[in-house]
Amino acid sequence: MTHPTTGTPILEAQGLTRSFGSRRTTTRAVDDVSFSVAPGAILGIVGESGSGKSTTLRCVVGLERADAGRVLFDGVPLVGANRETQRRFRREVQMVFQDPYSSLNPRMTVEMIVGEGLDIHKMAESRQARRARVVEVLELVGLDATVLDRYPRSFSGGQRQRIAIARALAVGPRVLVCDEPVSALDVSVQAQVVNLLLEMQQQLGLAVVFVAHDLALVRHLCHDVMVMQRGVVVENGPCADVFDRPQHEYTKSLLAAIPIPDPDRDRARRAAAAAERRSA
Amino acid sequence: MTTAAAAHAVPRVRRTRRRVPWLDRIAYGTVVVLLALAVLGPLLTPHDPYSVDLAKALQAPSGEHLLGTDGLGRDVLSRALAGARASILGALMAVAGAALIGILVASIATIGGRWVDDIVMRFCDITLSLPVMVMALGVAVALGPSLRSAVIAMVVAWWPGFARIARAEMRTVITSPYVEAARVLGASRWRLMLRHVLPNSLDGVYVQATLEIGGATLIMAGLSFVGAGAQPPSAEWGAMVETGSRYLTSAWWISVVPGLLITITALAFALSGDSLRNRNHPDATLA
Ligand SMILES: Nc1ncnc2c1ncn2[C@@H]1O[C@H](COP(=O)(O)OP(=O)(O)OP(=O)(O)O)[C@@H](O)[C@H]1O
Ligand SMILES: [Mg+2]
Repeated sequence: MTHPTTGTPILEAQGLTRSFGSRRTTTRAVDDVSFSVAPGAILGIVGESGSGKSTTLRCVVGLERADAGRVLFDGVPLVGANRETQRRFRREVQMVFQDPYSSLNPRMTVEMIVGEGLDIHKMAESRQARRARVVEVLELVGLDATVLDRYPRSFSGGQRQRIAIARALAVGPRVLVCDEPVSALDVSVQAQVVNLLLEMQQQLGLAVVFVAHDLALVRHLCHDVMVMQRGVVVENGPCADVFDRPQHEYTKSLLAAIPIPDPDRDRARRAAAAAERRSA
Repeated sequence: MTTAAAAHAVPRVRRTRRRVPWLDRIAYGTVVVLLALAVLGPLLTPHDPYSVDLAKALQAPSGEHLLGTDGLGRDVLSRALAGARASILGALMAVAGAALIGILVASIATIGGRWVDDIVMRFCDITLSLPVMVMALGVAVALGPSLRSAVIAMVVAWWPGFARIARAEMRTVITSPYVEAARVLGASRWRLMLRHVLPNSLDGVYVQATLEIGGATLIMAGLSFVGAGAQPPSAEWGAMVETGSRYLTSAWWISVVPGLLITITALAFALSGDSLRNRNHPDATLA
């Protein structure tokens, strides 16, 4: 596989800046952050708690207004873009939230939750077509038609996150933005959900922005990685480069903190993963 | 680790299946009976609640008149039954109207942006700083004393309280991740409001409404008692207490019967509301 970052970026952030607080005590949660993601590429964002990862994502998807900087979708700046482009952005850039216990409306059934995007973007001709599409996506994420009429409270965390992923995929996005999508889940199901995301990414050719605390996971999953500290990007580049030859002290300290239960096995695994990535 | 998780899971299951305490059951039961009375009461009267017979005035409770007669010889039981409709439905309508307007205003404040929000909520704060009774009395007198004026007056005095409760809940709901997820999907403000915010912000309003029905019964009766509400000869509990108050030492039953009914109604609704609020603990998710 050629490294997918070589295409024209589908999503690009330029100089995003966002401050919080009053006039006296402002903190720059995000300070001049730029990155780009090519179609089909996975970009990891890592950094300690409070380094501005979530705020960056929120600025990108428009949940937070950036003080400065801009977001380009398919090469077109969103600010001042025509309605059609904005609508396309709303459809083709979707988000998976950290906590599936609060990201699903407790009063909506699975069918309503997953089908909502289809309604918003008028993507279903009829009730049957809508239901068929919902079932199709549910099956994609490993659920089935029996869950259609159930409410979120009757599902486990892992199942809820699958529902949240199905909601994002239902409208046929090209970019998936994930903010620590497994950190709120039981350790036993984290791997399943990560694998599901990876599977979806490959099957649908999605570009993914993946925020995580777990550096080992990012190394395993991502093509590129961006390291943030106190709102600033300190290092940025292909995963292999950044992880194997970190330039910045902060990155080094982050890497040193990765637990390696069995160094030999870990090295072997890393080599295998690298070989797989090269040959795939 | 696993045992700790299991131990944590058990009380949660129990809490949702917790038995309803006996006092709450009595309160719920009383509310049901009162609502039935409000609908059926006027059909169950043993005598005509309005027929005057001075020869039978001020009779003590007997087989013929189970709860005695009033100063004009009217059957107290019949008047109490007939009055259930005005007193209970009046309070219900007042609270329902106030809750509805409160929810509407809160929704407008939530959608309308900072300016609208500030103006509307400041207005509510000012209104709320006046005692409900004073406010209702003023409006009822201005409209001309009648049962209808009393209901309208209470709606006017009461909606800001509901608006504030609803607004507070909407403020938290609108920042919740499921609303953000809908925003990312491109949902319009209307959709956000109707599909996500409203259905998840009204628990507090329902509980408050149930709690307030008790208080509303008292205010309704109070308005009638001071002559700003239901007018004689209409059967309404507050007005009945007032007409009976002249005979309190000689014929106590005329005032005490409707007075007790008012108290029971206020207590039953207040206790039910309280019980609902406790059961509505954030841990218990509702469908
Ligand atoms: N709505 C807000 N109001 C005020 N400050 C905020 C707000 N959102 C974020 N911040 C601040 O911005 C900084 C960055 O927060 P952010 O949530 O983006 O960090 P993060 O990297 O996602 O951290 P974590 O790993 O804990 O999720 C923090 O100092 C946080 O306190
Ligand atoms: Mg975060």
